[in-house]
Amino acid sequence: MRKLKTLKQLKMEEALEYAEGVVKTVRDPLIVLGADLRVISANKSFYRTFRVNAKETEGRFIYNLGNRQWNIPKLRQLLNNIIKKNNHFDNFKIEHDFETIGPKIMLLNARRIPRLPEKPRILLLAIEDVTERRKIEDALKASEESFKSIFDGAGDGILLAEAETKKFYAGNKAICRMLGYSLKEISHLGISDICFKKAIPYAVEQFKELAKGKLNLSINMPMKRKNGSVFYADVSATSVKIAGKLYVMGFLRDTTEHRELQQALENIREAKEKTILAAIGDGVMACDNNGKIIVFNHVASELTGFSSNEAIGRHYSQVLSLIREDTDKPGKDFIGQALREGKTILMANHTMIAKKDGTKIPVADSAAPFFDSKGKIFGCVVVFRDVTKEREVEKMKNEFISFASHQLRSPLVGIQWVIERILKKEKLTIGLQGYLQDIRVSVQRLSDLVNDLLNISRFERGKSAILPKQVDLVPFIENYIVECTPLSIKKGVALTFEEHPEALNVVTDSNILRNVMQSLVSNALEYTHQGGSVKVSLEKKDGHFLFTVQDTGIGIPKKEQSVIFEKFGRGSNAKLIKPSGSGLGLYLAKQAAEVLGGKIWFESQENKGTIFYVKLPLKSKSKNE
Amino acid sequence: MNNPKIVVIEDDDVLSKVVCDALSEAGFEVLQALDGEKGLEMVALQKPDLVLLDLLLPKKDGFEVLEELKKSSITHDIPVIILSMLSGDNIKKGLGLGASDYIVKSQHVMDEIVEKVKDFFNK
Repeated sequence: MRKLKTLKQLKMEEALEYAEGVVKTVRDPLIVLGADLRVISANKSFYRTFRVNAKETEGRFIYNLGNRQWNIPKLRQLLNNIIKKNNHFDNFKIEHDFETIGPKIMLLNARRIPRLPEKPRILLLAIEDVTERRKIEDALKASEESFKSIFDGAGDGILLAEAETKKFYAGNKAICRMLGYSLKEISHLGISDICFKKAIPYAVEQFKELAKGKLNLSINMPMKRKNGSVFYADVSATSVKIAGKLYVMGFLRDTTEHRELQQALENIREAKEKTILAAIGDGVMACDNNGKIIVFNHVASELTGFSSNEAIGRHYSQVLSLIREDTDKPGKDFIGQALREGKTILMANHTMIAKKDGTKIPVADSAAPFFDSKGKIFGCVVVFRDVTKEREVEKMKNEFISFASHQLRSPLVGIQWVIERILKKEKLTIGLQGYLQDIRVSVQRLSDLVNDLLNISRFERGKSAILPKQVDLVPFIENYIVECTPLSIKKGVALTFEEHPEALNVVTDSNILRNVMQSLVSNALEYTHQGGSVKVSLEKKDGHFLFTVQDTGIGIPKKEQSVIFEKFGRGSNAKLIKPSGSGLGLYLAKQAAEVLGGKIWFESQENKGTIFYVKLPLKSKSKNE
Repeated sequence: MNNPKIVVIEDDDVLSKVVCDALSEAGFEVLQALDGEKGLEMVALQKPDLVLLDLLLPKKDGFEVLEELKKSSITHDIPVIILSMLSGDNIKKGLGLGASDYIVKSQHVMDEIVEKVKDFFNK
């Protein structure tokens, strides 16, 4: 027969069932101990956490659990205490190094059932394993500390403002120093309290954009300190979300010092530039690669009539108006050429500047491009100067030479003609005839020199008139060869003119051509030893004729070949043979050939001989003096 | 035919003397003028067959003389040969003003000048 349970028994069973249910469902480890501190039962979480099973646990004395791993002095004390006196203890922290599972940090909660003053029958011991949580907390704390030290240690000011209210939420020490507020004061401020008045609307506008998360701001702007003073700061800002809330985080760097330094440097640079530019006696202008003027010194202003304010920013062609002296037409765009070609270009000779007021002055000089670090042209410097004085001096010099030469020539011609007449008419002793011949040779030399000087002055003035006329070069050269024959016989050098077309009609200035021919043939005869030969030849080539003089003479030493066409340039071996030579002949021959629109060059081997080539157009253009 | 008459207008007396002597010896009748003004007068008066005219002259330069000779109905048919030290454009200018020929003094020996004058009359 079924035994009827008492109400008390029923309540007790329910309570136990309730307790069992709680033990089983609680997620934290929980053990039920008897009053003798032996384990009545433990939940799954306990077994899992401490890696033990029910068999090893139930019925055992708690301190002997798991090879006496639970023999924790603190726990003993607590449990003794609770049995004797206390109702319970809560969140009692113990740290213990378990053999099997390592160090653990646990919070212990215990209850005795029933409560005092009755004798306890069971103890509930809940163990909360907070090891992981503690680790996280520690890490968090460490990170917070390091963050704080970074935050406060940063040299830049950092501010965090709530996107919604624009009020500051946090700031670091640097921002306090920078603005002169305490942290507490800052927390009562907003964006518009720290900006320079005029910058507030802009700052607010930017803040709104930032608050939408749409912008990363980076700008140098004026800020305001607590004391009202203004400083410039590099501000960069961005929006951040912290715990779901939007903030604007700003970094401020005080650039006052940097700015001042920059300004000082700029001032020095500018002063230096200005002093240098002002000290230069030439007009100096620099333009960028679009031709826009960026530098213009005061001499440039004087020369062009444009002030630097007027000039800077304009295209150079609007300021530097170049015209050719001879034609009055626009001069060559040497600046554009320098910018295009990336090399220094000289202003053409005889260029003038038309000033703002229309007056013209002769100028000279050059444009030199400058390059960036990658070698790309990014502008050019133009230096120009007034050459009025130089021109005058040059003109005077040339006029003097021309006048002196002319005045020298008349008496020379007089002497020559008189000697000629004496030799022809008078009966003279052989000795006297010899002396007269000597005079004649000397006068001829003087006369040649005077002619050379006169020609040089003409060529150098660019004022050698060219009077081209139709001339058959074959008889023209033949006649000249005949003239030279007495000299060639005297020197014992065979002078021939054999290679040539039957006739070669050209239009050229025969006087100038004669100068070229004279210079080359007389040199060849002069510097060829007895028994040698001088061959003159003429050849027609498309549009040109080529006149050559080939000798078997001393040649031009290699190292002097480059100077042979220069004024007074002579070969060292030629100087030995004829110390009195002027060194003007080939210079003049080159000038003459160029004036006729042709060119002259040579091939030479020392002690073997030389060939001079003169290439001239079949038709030379006329030019007035 | 009588000997051709030549007026030599040349200010350098040495040159003038040599030219005149050489031309006289060659059989010409030679008259000497040492400046531009004298030269003009002499040409108008003597009506020579040829004038040898220097360009750089005192009182009146060769171009002016040439211009006036060619302007005047009395003298404009008289041929003029420029005898000058100048060359280049001056010659061109002289020829433009009506000179028949030119001789650059420094480029010729005396004999060649006489030959040129003879050639002129033989043409």
